[in-house]
Amino acid sequence: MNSLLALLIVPITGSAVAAILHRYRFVERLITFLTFCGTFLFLFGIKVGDIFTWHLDFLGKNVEMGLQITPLSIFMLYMTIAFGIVLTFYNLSERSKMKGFLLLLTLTASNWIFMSTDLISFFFAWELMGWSSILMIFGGKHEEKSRHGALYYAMMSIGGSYSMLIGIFLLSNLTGTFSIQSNVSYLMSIMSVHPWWVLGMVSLFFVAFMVKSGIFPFHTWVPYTYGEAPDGFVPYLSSVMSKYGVYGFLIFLPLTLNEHVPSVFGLAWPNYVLLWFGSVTAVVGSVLAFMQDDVKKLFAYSSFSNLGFILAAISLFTPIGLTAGLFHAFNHLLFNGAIFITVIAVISKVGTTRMSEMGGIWQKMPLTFLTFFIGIAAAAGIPPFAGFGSKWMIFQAMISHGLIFATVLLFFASIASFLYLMRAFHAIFLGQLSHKYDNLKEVSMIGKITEVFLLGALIFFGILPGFILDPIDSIVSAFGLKPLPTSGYEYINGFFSSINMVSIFIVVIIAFIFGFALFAVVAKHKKVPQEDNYTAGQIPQDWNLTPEMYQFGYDFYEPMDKELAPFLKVKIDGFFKGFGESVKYIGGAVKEIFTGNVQIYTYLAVGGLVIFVIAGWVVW
Amino acid sequence: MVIVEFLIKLAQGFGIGALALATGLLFGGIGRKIMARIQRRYGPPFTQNFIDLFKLFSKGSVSHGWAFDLGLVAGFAPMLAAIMFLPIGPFTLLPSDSSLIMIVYLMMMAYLGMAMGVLASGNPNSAIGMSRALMLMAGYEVPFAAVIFSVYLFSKTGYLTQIVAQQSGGFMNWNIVKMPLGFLAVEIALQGMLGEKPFDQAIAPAEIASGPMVELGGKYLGFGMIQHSVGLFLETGIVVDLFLGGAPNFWIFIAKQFVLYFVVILVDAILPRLRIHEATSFFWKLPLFLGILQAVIVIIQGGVLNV
Repeated sequence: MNSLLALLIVPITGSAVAAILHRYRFVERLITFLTFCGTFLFLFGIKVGDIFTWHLDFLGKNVEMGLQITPLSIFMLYMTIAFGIVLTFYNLSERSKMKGFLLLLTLTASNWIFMSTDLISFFFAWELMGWSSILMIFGGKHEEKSRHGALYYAMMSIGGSYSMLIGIFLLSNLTGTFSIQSNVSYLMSIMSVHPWWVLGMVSLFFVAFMVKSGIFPFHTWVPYTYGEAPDGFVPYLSSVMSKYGVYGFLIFLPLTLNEHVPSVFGLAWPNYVLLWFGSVTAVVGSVLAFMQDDVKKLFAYSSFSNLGFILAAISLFTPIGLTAGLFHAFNHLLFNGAIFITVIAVISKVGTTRMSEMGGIWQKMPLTFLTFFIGIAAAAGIPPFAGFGSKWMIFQAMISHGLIFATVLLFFASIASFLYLMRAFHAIFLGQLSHKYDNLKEVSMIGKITEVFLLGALIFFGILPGFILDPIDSIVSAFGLKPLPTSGYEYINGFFSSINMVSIFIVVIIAFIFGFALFAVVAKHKKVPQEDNYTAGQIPQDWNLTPEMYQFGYDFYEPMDKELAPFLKVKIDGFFKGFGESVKYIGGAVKEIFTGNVQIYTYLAVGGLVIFVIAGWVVW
Repeated sequence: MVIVEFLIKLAQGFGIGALALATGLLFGGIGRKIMARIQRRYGPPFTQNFIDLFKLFSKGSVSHGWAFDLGLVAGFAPMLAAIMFLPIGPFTLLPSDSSLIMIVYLMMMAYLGMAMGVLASGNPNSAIGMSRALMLMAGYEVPFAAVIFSVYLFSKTGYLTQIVAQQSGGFMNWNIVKMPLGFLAVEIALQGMLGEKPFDQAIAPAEIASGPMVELGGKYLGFGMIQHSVGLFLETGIVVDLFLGGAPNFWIFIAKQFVLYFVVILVDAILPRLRIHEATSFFWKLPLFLGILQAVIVIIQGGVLNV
């Protein structure tokens, strides 16, 4: 069997089997996991340049459709399927209502998106991915709310899809072909003649990608949907599905390599606009995140904020920008996966998503705590973990263009991310442990294995980034850019400086060893229970103080709200709601006409006839 | 051969760490003395911080569990690691990795570790203090970053060693002359970084019982103290390297650091504490404006690189 076809057939067969056996929850999960593994095995059989085509009669034309492997698609395939294996393995022990067969359907669509060479199969795969994930979100914990989340997501996705569909038909009408390659080169050839027209066309596609990645101003669905989706699915949603948008952007971004494009600050201005979309997304996501009390929503904001970083970097479309963006895409997948998997582990144990009701869980779930800790350290961009290198490169890529405002905004987003990560860290794991969690247990064996694996991956790819940078280099050269110099697996080469991650790792480790040695040598300590706190001489029991009351987790950054209040008044969400309301209003007004009164129908019929006659008269 | 080299580096590293710690402690002691004289007290001897540290390390203390222990060590170790990449006078232990942003992020790891430790104690005072410290950080890091980026554009390199080398050859080559606005922004940010008044909201002794330090005693407070001392050395050292042209030898380096610290103490002595949201938004106004203005000037002067 052709390996390319196998990447579609294996998951869809698995999906069918899982759907049939979906009553047996564990069997379904096992099949999902095994199918992911099987698909991964077929990945080894493919290489860059593999192609598979077939023909289809479509609208009276003989359309060539196909699958092809590019360096970018193979990178994306490895990334997404490997993460899927980790997640489905973890889900073997998860109790949320995630449906494995829908996940496998999403996987089929995902593979197809990354391999399709023509716009028809791209669109079809895009829709398949969209609808299977929408159906998945319906199965959330709170039926009413998850329906709302799913519909919000569906409406935004449909909006994006329509926009893309219009783009596809306009484009294929002009070129007479559906092939992505020839359409992009056609656009590139007329770029110098009709730049505005090309950009308008491309933005039709970009709307769809921005919706999927949750880029400002289309980010509003993300918190609702992530907040209500089944726990087991959220990591996939945020780590993998947000990257489809990135892939889409990268299809069309080579257009701006054309030298006829008008430019600002040494950057083609469409790229400049995209860069600002990215930077604003990063800031909006970070700022909104640190005001959340719902942990899933907090990390939903965090997720699209990181997508803002990625978009800002790839929109530069310089070697270092592209490398930084793709590297961050990988790192985001990794640390966001680790964070979300630990978060859903905690949620499944404590039964709530409100952070103000948690606290002190580190005492009960040490391994989960450690994984989360390394995860947020990576997310905050702290060396030597995965996440540092890409953020560091993004800043260098941006500043080398002299884009000071956007860079400072991104840095602010990075600091703000430190704030919300610390908030989540404190409110979930640190502080006072409530007595209702006295019987809390660490995750099961499967969960432990997953967490150790993620922990190891975060450190491994942090100190040996070359394993990711090497494939990225081949992607960069496939785009016709000069890849960054490579000098070994442990090096990250930036624009202004290069770093040997292994040496940093060793220095940090030695510093830690020295710290622990000092800690052990000096005077002894004894362990005290958590109630043994400084209370300025008061006895907490006299005041009926409980650990819950003694935990400061709610409204952690209350003083900041005052400063940021003017920015929070702008409600993008409100715009979409208002849009929905007015559609409803117009619909209602139109409905008013059809009252059932025959007289009105007669008027309508006569009016229609008159218009018809006049129109016919004018046309002929 | 590699092992010998490694051992030499290791020994040098220990030496640098000890030096940084001693300098930081000494600065703290002198700072206390100066503060006392401004307030017309006699003040403790300038070796007081050494005595305090010795006392703290020899006293028994209470722990709130392994996350508490780990956090305190993790608050100190990355600071120590960051010192190894800092050009101290003519000497840098690991010059090939002295990337400025990397050092800044290593410092952040220290804050993360410290935060983990003090928050694991479960005292709400430390949580309030930590929340304030983080909000303040969201303030001062932004102008600091703007200045870092302008230095990057100006020097066209990200290595601290090369930034220092470019400033050699006299006062007129120092970045403080070439980028005065940036220096001003960093000087204000330094006040916040060191947590001195008017930016001492996180500690606020009479208000929230010393904030993050409330549960620390004995060696834990000792670890907090050495973290602060090494941090003091690191932060002033970065500014010396960025703007004051580094130094030909260690003593001049320390003298330059002390000048910076002296200004910080004087400001600390005369200003009252701001409220936390005022402090944060202050950093987003004047210092950020100065930092961005500096960057814009650098860019106009031709700092943009052709990529």
